[in-house]
Amino acid sequence: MRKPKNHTKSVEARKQRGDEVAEIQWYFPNELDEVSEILRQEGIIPHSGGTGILWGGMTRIRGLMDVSHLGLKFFRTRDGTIELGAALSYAETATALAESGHLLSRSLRAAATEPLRNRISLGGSISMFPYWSDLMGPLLAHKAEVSLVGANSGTWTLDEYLKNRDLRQNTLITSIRLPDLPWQGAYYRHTRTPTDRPAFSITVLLRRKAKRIEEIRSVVVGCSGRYRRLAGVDQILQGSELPPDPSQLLEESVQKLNIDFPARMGFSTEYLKACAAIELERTLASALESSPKSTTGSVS
Amino acid sequence: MTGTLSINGTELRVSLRGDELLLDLLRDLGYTEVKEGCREGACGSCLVLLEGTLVNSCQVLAASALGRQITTVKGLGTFHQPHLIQDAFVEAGAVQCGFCTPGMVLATFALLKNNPNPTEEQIRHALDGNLCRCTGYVKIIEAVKLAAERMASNA
Repeated sequence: MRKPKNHTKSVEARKQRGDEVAEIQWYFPNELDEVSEILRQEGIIPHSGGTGILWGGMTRIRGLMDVSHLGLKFFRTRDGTIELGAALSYAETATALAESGHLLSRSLRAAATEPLRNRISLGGSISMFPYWSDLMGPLLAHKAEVSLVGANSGTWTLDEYLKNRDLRQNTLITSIRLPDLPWQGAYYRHTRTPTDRPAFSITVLLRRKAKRIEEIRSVVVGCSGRYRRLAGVDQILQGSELPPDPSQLLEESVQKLNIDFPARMGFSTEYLKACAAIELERTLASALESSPKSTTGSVS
Repeated sequence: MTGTLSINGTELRVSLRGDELLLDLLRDLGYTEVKEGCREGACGSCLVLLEGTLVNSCQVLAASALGRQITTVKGLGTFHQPHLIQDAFVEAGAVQCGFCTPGMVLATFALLKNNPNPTEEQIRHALDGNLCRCTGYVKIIEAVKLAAERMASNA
């Protein structure tokens, strides 16, 4: 008989202490109708790619609901909306959006590594929302919505979903919707090496008419409170006429930035704060330089 | 729990724990060409193809792979009948200790399947999940280019 192994040190540690560690039960629903009933039981969470579940440890999980037979790997564009199935992996999403040069495609292509991009799913990544997420900044900037089934069936803005913990209980994300609009944009991830997790990331989307910025949305992920829309910076820039050299305007707008970071990855709070200000200014400049005719952005 | 796995074309009935990793299951079943490295999805030593898609087997719960097809590096070629990619790695001098090689070969296979003529940047991107601590990557990238050439001329 094969010797059973556990992947998490916490499970092993609990067993060594003599604690009872329950066997994890798996559920394989074929229809969305079955989901609510399964999730009603305590300690059962949806499993798509599983990478976040492994990082989070599994000591409190009683059961896992595999979502691979629910038909949640789809990509649709209609009525000015992009709809992404929640079981799509980062790699599948990046490929689906690559042709349009969508900013989300570029941010996801920069995330993690090739085999992990093949495994990390959109739904799992939203529900776990690690600070290093390369998904959430672009989704929040696009004002994405999530569709849920289970205890809180319906469609919610991503912002609502993240702020209301109750929405996440006994619930499965089935799809993500975002408006299919032509934005200029840029995305920055603060890493030590390209395959590192970002200590923070910055997303900037903007639309402009001639030299006037009509709308701008800046989002930082990885700061204290996990994410923040930079409304103060956006207010300064929105509606402003861009001078031939916008660098002074950008510098002034970033000076109003007041955002905190927890120390992490060997970076101090003060260091991350200083880097965020500099990189925000650069990301704004990069967004202004990106092509206004498409949704193309850049990843640096 | 029990279920079936198809590994390198062979159907196997397996018994596993709900929290068991695919890496551990494969190694316990004798597929030791799937190497155990970091167990964090960072090194690429444990790569396998799951339904043709490159994944870190240390980041896959085995139960989620039940009923699916798994290919390890031995499913591509053998010592006596190596795959063109394996030949290319030997010829290019891309193998030293060999620990990372199964993962490198599978990552190359996954790349060339979708992109038979990759640029160097595309090769680097496709192999960004594989660490080698011996050869320093130059020879590995040369091996991928050589494999692409050989596979194109054999197509």
